[in-house]
Amino acid sequence: MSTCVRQAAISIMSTTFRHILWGYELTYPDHWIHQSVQDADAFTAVANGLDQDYEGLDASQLVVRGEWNWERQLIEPLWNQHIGMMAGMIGAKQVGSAPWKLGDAVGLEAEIVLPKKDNQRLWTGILMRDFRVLHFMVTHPMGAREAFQPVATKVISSLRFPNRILDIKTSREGIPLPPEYEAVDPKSILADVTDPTNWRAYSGKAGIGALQAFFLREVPIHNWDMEEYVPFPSSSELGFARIQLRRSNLKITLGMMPYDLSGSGTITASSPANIVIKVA
Amino acid sequence: MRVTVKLFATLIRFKDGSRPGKPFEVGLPEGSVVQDLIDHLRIPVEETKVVFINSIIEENQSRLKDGDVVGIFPPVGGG
Repeated sequence: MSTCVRQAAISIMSTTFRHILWGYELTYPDHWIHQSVQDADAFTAVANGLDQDYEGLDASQLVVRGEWNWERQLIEPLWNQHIGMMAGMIGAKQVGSAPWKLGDAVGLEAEIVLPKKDNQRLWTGILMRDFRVLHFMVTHPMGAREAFQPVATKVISSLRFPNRILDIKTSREGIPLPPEYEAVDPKSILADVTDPTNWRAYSGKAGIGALQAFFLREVPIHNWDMEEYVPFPSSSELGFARIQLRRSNLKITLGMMPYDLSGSGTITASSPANIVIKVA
Repeated sequence: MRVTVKLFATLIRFKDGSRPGKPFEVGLPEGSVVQDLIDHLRIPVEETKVVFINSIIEENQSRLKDGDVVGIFPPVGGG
């Protein structure tokens, strides 16, 4: 997913990454490279910094991934899940955690002790703000610590959650639309639609969690009253996320329909979703 | 100070004659926060899920100011 815009920040000659869906911004050095990797965003100093086989001293990276936390799970169990997953993936043996606060966001951070044979250093943290949780992971070769750590710290410290993001496109009814979503025939998503003139459909690859973050932030700003919201995932058997919107006499049902892109047969909060809109 | 309140979905039962999104005014002491408003409306905190102040998602401890428009939304549909 490359739902970002780059713009020069004149004062510090750095580049701003703006994640329009998750609604956060980071400023990073001009020579760094941003890459979208599945549902995460990676920032590296060299183009092949994400290659597992690359062993240069500049093989350092910062990875950020968003999570939709409508259940408002507390930070501690989220952290335990995060650490547990990472420890399992990389075989870490010791983990020490510390509270972490950045602006209005609160969370936890840790330097993970990797196996002795591993020449990498790993730092990770999570931050929670409203219903959004951002997962951070910084890795770099041991020898790059002095050079990379201050820069990575500066990039992470630049994190902002702007209340308003300009230039959001809308449907003809005024529903905000996420970037990189294309209008398609509604029947291509909902085969049983009998009144296609009352439906709009948009195809894209953003995760359903990120889409929910986008719409909950943007629909009130676009003067829609949100009358009902069924999140996904939830205890509902709906199987998708649904928001009922009203503006004066216009009533809209907005559905975020997850699909199985990988062919794994499972749908999760990270699964991509298409968008359907019913105009009543 | 006076704030404009909009209740949505099941929360309309806490305001006589209300319908979803119908605005009404509430007077509160200066320095009040969202939770004070929720208490004033006698809405159990567990029935509130998300609060918008002037269309921005805010927390229950966010401070209110005169003229704010506050939307309160419940957990619905298993949320």
